[in-house]
Amino acid sequence: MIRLEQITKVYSLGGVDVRAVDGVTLGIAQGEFVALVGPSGCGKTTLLNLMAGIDRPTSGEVWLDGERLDRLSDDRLTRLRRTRVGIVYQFFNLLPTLTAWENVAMPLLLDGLQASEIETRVARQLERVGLTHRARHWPHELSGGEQQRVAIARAIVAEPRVVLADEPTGNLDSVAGGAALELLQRLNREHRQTIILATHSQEAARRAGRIVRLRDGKIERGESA
Amino acid sequence: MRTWTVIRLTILRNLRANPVRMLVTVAGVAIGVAAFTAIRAANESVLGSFQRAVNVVAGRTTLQISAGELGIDERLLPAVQQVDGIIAAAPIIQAVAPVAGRPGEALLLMGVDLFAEDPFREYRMADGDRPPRIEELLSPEAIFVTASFAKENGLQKGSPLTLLVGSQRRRFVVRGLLAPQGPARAFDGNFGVLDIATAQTAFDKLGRLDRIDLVTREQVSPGEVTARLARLLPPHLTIQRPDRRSQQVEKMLRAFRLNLTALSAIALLVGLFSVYNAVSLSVLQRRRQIGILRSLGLTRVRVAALFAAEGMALGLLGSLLGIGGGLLLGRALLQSVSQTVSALYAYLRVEGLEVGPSLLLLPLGLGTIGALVASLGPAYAASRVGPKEAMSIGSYERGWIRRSELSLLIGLLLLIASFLFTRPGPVRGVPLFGYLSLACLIFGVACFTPQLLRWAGKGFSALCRARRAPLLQLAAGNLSSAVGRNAVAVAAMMTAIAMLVGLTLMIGSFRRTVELWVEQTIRADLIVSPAARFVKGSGARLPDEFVEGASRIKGVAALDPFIGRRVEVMGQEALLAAGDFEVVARHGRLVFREEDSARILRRAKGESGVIISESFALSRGLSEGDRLPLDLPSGRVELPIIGIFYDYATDGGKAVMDRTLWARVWGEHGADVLAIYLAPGADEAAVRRGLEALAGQDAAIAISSNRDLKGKVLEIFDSTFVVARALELIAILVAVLGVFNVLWASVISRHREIGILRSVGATRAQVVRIVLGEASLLGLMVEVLGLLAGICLSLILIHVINKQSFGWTIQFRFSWLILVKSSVLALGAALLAGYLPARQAASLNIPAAVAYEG
Repeated sequence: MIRLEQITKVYSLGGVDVRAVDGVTLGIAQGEFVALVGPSGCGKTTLLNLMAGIDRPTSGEVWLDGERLDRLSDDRLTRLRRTRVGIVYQFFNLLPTLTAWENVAMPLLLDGLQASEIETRVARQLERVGLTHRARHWPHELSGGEQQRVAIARAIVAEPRVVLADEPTGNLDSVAGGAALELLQRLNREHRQTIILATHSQEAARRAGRIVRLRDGKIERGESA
Repeated sequence: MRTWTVIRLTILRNLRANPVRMLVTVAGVAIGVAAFTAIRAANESVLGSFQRAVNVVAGRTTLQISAGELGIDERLLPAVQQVDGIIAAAPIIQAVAPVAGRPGEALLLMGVDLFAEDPFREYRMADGDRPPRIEELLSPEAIFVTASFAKENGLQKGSPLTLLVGSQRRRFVVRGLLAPQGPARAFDGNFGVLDIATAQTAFDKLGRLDRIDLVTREQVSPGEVTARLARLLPPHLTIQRPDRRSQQVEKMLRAFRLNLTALSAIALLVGLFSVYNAVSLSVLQRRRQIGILRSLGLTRVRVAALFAAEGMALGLLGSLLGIGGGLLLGRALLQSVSQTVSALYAYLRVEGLEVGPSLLLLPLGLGTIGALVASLGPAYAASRVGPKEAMSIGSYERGWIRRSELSLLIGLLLLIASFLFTRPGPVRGVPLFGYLSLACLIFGVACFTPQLLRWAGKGFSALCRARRAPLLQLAAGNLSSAVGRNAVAVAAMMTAIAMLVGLTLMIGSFRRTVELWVEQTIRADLIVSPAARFVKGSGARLPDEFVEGASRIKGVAALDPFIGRRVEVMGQEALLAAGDFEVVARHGRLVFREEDSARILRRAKGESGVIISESFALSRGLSEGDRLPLDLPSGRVELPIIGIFYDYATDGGKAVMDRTLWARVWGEHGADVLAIYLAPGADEAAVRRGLEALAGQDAAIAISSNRDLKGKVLEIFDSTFVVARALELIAILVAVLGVFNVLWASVISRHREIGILRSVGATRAQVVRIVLGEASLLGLMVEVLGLLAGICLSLILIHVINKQSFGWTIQFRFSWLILVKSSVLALGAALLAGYLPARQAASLNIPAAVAYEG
């Protein structure tokens, strides 16, 4: 479903070229739960950004469902993010001026769906993450764990083909972190949702079906759990 | 040295890192300071030019005897010369004469006794010009002009020069060229000298003098000489120092100058808002940095000092640029200001912009100190940031939520104060409380903005939520969640829009009032006047034969010969005039405060009374039934005031009597202007031809139709407001820069939020729409507040400031056009200011924005 072919990403920092991703080739099948593991700066986030279509590789090809992302226009990529990719961040990244319900609904609102359709879908996702009772609350009224669950609900509300989670437990205590991972695991198990998790926590990685280890922008080795 | 390093590392580096904000803020201050400097420079130069002319024309004169336009009997001169303490006395005729065929060009003419001039003034012939022979000096057509005037007009010694003198075109011959010395320096060299006898004949002042200049003995105080003269001279003559004339003109121009200065101060105020804005944004963005610096040992006081220094640096830079720009702008405005002053108050010709130290230092001080004061608030807020907490923006905004309620209360109190300040009268002719009322209104409404932004943001948010408009909802949310950032920008732009609305409504109401007045009062079919009267100070009149002859022209039903003299009445200069009340009662009309025009005019004629204009009555505290004391050549008279009429044509007001009374108390007839009423069915063109023939070949008379004159009155009206309208635009420009600054900062501080939106699927176009939506909502707030404040502002301008400054009653009239104009401007300006920030937001690098830790 996702295929990365000889991906390289070079950033120019203060005149010095830094290779964040260096010749990575990786394939991920529909319904897989893959963990990208490695120390800070190993290229996990860059790889996720490339798969999400919010960044473009310096060289190589990124394929999602037979479509080559690195050649799509900005508008096509935007539409793809809205409908086929869900993203969960370490810092939750909820919009502070919207309620939990509105945050979850945002991708659908941006897509111009019918109000009734939005109601149904948002209600379903909030129920799935166990936050129906917090729908009308503002982000600052929610705990970190709750905020991350809202972020997960937002990521899956458009029923994307893949959910990309970048250190989703990095800003949570162990209980809340565990609950968030549990939620991702359940999505994968019960709905065959493809999940790619970037983390430096071994414990989090153990919940994935496959672990891909990265170091200095390259894949060390892949293993199946 | 250490302090400098801290400033360099924290302030200067920050300014360099935010070049857009720095440039926009500096530009805002610079434009405000430029407007203030330009108006001040133009005003000071106009007044300076007048004062210099008075001084150089006075020369060594220590005292002057004058009687306004009443004139002095020349037979008094020998008696004056005999008064103890007087060394010399010189007779003077002084008038302004337009140059024929050169519209706008005029000469200040002085008729002098060339043999009595030595103790008073020095005239020197231009280089290479030999002194004139005595017969040349005294020949009846001889005139001496300055070499510079001659060069400009292509004249040489011996060249003919035709001037409009009285109602005639009069031909003179240039007999000598004067070097720029003594009185020849007046009005940039637009100066000419004639022999006194030539001047008396030319200006139809045989046996009369405009002035007697005196040089008194040093050992005797001028006060003593004045007392001796007062015993000798009739009471209508005034004895004063020459600089008194400058003071009179200064007084006459005070309201005009003050109004322009107040308007330019508003532009400066809007500029200073932008400094407050910029420093607030700087504090907002650098809370983490402040926290870190505090934890490294920087004291609260030094944090505050650093931010105050940042504001002051922006103010200083803006002021320096603004002064430079102001001098350029001043040069452009000078023409307009001097034309208005020439048309309404006194003829003058300005040499150029006068740049003195005070002209440069005051705007520099106001801009820099103002910027310092403007940044004290945000600087204090910066000093409250704790060392441990790298506080979130949210807590700063929550502080604003608390403050917005207090601010609302202060706003209410200021509005009450604004209302109360409209009650007291002027202080020495200056509507001081009126200006205070304006200031309270502007600041009061500005205080409302934080709370209104919160309410409006929430209201819009709820509305958009109900309507499922997520982009607008985000924009509305930003409005209320960033009150601190938005409030100042809204306040600044609201001030500019209020100024636009207020001035437009005032000028529109005023114009409509004048239009109605013109429609009601200018009834004559033809109006004849000497062409020279289009310049102030020409003193030109129509000859008696012309007036008599005009009445015999076929088709003329009635004549109203109008005559007026500027004299001092109850300590202030005014126009004392006469007309034919019976003719006006029958054919014309004046708009009186009470009763019917014809009845009052006939009563005034029957009871030998006067009618006075509203501004005359207000400035002297007179009303119907009072008696008006007048010092005339025939002695002191006290005339009953029969009616008070509305008049918008004469600054300082006028008192009018019937011609028969004028002839009795004055001993003269004549006319300055002749209003002619035609018989029904008369041929206007034929009457016109008859008048031209009557005036003769050399005549310099202007015949205006009813429509021409009405048009001319409104043309003069419009030209006086050109500068005010330019100031409006300047204030708006400054405000647009402020909104740009806020939206730019808003985009920068929301990088992450915009990144999230983009990552969950918002297109570039949708992001642009969010920022422009926010700009529109800001524009809408600005429009609503600006419109309300502007209406109040126009009411204060109309009912307090104009009324107290000029004594004119203006009927308030709301124009729906201003609603459209200001809405287009407020929304247009906000959208324009939002365009670049919106583009910036749309082109954001998503991974970098999302990774940013706020």
